[in-house]
Amino acid sequence: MFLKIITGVLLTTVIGAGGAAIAYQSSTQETPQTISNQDFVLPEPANDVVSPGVPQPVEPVTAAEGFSGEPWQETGTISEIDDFGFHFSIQNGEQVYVEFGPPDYWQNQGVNLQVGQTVTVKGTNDGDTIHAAQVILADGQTLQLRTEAGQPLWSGGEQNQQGKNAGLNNGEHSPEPQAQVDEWVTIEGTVESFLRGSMTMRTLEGELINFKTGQPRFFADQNVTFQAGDQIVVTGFYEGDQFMAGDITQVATGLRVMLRDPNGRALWSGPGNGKGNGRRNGNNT
Amino acid sequence: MSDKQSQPVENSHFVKRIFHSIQRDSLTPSGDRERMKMVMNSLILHIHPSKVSKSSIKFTYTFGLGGLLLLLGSILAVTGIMLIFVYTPSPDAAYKSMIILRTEIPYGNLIRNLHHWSGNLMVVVAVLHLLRVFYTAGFTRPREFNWAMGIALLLLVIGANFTGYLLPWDQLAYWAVTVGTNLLDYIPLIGEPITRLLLGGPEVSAATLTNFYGLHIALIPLAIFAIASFHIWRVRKDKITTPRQINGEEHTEKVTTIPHLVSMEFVFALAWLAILITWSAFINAPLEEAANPSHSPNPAKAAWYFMGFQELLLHFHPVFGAIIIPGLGLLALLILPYLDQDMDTAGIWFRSVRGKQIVSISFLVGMAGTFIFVLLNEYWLDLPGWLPFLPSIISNGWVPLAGILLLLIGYFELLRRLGNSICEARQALFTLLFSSFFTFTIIGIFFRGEGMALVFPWS
Repeated sequence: MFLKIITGVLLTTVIGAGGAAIAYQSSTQETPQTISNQDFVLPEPANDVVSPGVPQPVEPVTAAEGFSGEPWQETGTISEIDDFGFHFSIQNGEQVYVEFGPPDYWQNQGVNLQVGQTVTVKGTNDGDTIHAAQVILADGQTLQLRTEAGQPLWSGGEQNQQGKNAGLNNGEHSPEPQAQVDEWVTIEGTVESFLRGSMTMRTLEGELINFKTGQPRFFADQNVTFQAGDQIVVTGFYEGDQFMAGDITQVATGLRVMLRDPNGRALWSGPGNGKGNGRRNGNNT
Repeated sequence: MSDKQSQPVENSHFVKRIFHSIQRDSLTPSGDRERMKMVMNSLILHIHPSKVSKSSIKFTYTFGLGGLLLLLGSILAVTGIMLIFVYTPSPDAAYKSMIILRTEIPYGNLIRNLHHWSGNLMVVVAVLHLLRVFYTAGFTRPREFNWAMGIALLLLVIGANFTGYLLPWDQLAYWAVTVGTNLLDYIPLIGEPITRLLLGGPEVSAATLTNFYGLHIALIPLAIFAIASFHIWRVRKDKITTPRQINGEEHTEKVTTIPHLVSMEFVFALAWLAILITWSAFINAPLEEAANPSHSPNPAKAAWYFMGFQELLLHFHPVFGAIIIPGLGLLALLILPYLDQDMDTAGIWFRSVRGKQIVSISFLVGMAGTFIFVLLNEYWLDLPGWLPFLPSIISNGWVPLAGILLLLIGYFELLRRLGNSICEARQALFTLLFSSFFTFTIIGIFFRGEGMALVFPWS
C-alpha cells in the first residue's frame, strides 16, 4: 500500500513535469518572431565591451523566450492578490487577472502591493493571460518583472537574454528606463579568483576588480561554474569605489548569471533589503 | 660463606620473577597442556575467539579485509606519530614541512608516502570490506548494529582522510578541501554554520588548518579507536558468518585460532607491508605547488572519494545532489540489515546462483545507465530550461529524482516478477546504486576537464 502511494506520487510528478514541459515548449515555440525595434536589440555576446558614449551597431534578432502577445498597458485598482499575480479592475470596469511569475521572485522585490491600490501595469496580453512586465505604483515605486522584450527576470541561463541590452546598444550604459544606478558599465577580463561570495577579475587593462557574487547557495542555483582563468564579461555599476556586478557572462559557454535586477538590487537579498531599495526607487523615479 | 653461595640463587629468582610478570608461560612448552595454557593466555585471544570455524578462515571468504584495515590503521598511527615531529600546522610552515620531509629528513619521504598511500588504501579497503559483508549477508541477526558501527567507521575513515588532505597545504589540498567543504554549505539551515565552524571562518585559512590538524591527529583517531574496539569486540562475540555453498551443509569443524588463523594473518600482514613499502619507495605522494587562495586550478576537483558527489552536483540541484540523495543512500545502508528476513542465506556469496547473476547484470546496468544519464544530461536533457517556471530545486531536484526512483522501483518489481526473492532483488538494487555511484566517481575523476566539461581521455 505504502509503495503504491509512493509510486503514485512519483508517477504524478514525472507525468506532470513531462506534460508541463511539453506544454511550455509548444507554447513558446508558437510565438517566436523577429523584433525590429532597436530597444530590444541584443549585442554580440562576449566581445562587445562598450566604451562609454560609443553607439553600437544594431541588428534585428529573434525574440528570446518570454516575448509573447500584444503590448498591454492599463491603469486600475487591485482587487485581489495571490501568489502568482493579482485581479485587477481596469478603468472600463472590466476585471482581469495579471500574471507575475513565481512568488519567490516578485515577493522579494520589496514593493508592497495591497488590495485597493491604484497601479499601472505594463506587459503583454497573449489573448489568454496578461503577463506583467512592470507594475508602477502611484508613489512611483516600480515592480519590474520582465524586460520590455518579455524576458522573465527570475529565469537565468542561456535562454535568458535579460540585461544583454543593458548599456550596450545605446552607448549610454542605461540598462532599463527605471534603473536607479548612475551608470551601467560592461567590463571584460578573466577570473582571477572566485571564493565564497566574492570574485576577483583582471580586466584587459590589467586592473584587478573585486565584487560580491552573493550567497554561495544563490550562485550555485544558477548552474554556472566559474574557474580562475575563465574569460568573462561583467555588466555592473560603481557604488562609490566598489564595483557592483549585475550579471556575469562566461564567454566560453555564453552562460550568464544574473546577480542584480535592473534597479541594481541584489537578487540574492531578502525582502528586508528590497524594501530599502523600493523606497529609493520611489524617491528617484 | 653461606651468603656468597645464596646470592646467585636470589638473583636468579629476581630475574625469573620479572620475566614471569611479563610472560607467564614458558616460551618452550613441554607438553600439550602447557602449550594450550600459553595459547589461552595470549593477547591475541582478546580480539579473536580461541577457536574459529575452519571454513571461515578461508582466504577467499573474507580476503582478510578486516585484518588489512587493522594493519593499515596501525601503519597510519605509527607513521602519523613520526610525521608529527616534523609537521607544523600553519600556512607558512606546512608546505615547508613537506619539502623538508622530502629533501632533508632521512626516510622522511618514505614515511610520508607510506602514510599517504595507506590512508587512501584504507578508504578503498573499508568499502571493499563493506561489500564483502553485504554480499555474504554478514549483517544478518544479531549483527545488525555492528553493521551500523561499520558504516560509522567508514565515515570516520573518510573524515580522517579528508582532514589529512589539507595538511600539505598545496594547491591540490587547498582547492580539494574548498570544493569538499562547499558541499556542506548546501545542508539547509545548519550547512553554513557547520561549514564556518569547520573552516574557522568563511573560507579555508590558517584556522582551517589548525582545526583539521586537531581533528586529524586527535579527535577522529580517538573516535575510530573507540568504535573499532567495539566493532571488533562485537565480531568476536557474534562470530563472523560461516561460509556455505548453495544448498550445502554448514561446516562445523573448528580449529584453534593460534596457530591456524594467526599464522595466516601474520603472513598476510607481512605481504601487505612489503607491498606498501615497495609502492611507497617508488611512488611519491602527490605534492603540487604551495596553496594559492587567489588562484584556483581549472578544474578544481574534490578529493577522489568525493568526486561522485561533485559529479552528482553537476546533474542535480545542490540540495538534492549533496544532501538528499547521499542522505537517502546512507539511511538505506543503515536500515538494510533490519529489513533482511532471509537468515538461511547468511554466509552464501550473493545468496544464490541466481543472485550472483543478477548482481553481475545489475552492476553492468548501473554503469551503462549512469553513463547514458550523464551523456543525456550533458547534451540533451535540460529540465531547468524545459520547466523555467518551476524553482530549480523542483525542476532540477525533485523531478529527476522522482524519475530515477520510479526506474528503481520498476527494476525491483521486474526482478520480483522474474522469480527472485526480496533479498536477491534488494541486493541487485544495492548493486545498481553502488555501480552508479562508482561510475559517477570514475566520470568525475577521469572524464571531467576544464570547467568540469565532459571530456573523453582518448579523444
